[in-house]
Amino acid sequence: MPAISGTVQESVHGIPDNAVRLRAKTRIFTALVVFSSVTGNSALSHGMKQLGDIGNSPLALIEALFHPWVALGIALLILWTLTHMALLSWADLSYVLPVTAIGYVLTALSGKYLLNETISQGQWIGILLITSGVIIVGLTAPVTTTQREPE
Amino acid sequence: MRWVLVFILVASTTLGDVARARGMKHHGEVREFHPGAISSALWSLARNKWVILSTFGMAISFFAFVRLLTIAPMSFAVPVSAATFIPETILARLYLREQVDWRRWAGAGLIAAGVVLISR
Repeated sequence: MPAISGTVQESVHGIPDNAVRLRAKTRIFTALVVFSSVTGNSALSHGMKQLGDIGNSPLALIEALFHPWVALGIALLILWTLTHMALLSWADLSYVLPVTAIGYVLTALSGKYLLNETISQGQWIGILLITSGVIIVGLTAPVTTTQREPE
Repeated sequence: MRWVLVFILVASTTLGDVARARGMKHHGEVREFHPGAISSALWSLARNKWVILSTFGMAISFFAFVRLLTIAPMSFAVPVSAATFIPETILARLYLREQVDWRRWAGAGLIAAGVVLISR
């Protein structure tokens, strides 16, 4: 039994305090996952644009990892990996996947407000659809599975 | 080449996410976040076969995405990556046995459609 695994969750229905605690924890980790993913992908894409087409060779791919923007992107994506793993240790995948999609909206809005990119009418509809999808899924309980396998 | 990369991207992301969710549920809720607890959790996770499989999937997904970005614009790469919503939600229901009610299906559908629109 690893030190951190903690007690097995018997039920999320039994103890209301536990449901409240999990919801708060889920919100914090969702924010961390979204932040690291949005900033990480932006840094990575910025770096890859500077590098251009690097071809198929594995060596060129490895070399690209040492480009400053690519390296910053990777550091942020490591943070994403850790927070995403922690979040999935209690929350459903069918909850985490939709709610973290708010990152698409933040990417588009940061393009508009930070880089002065224009957002077309179609893109605004996309932003509206994603935001409503995130809100709808956000209303569901983050955890629906009651069985946790023992270590 | 483009669609081969898309297939690899969607398949490996799905594998990565589903295996990660499976492995982390097996591990149990992460409750402590001080450095000692984090390192012992990482040590335990490094030997969790689902987490290892997930890392393998994520690595393939990462390189497929980076490679795709070098031959296709973001406006193509981002919306096609949202295709993972479909197999992942189905596997969350059937394999991970999550209760995917109508709100989660509706939300996933709205988001997938929204991603296509936002990326144009």
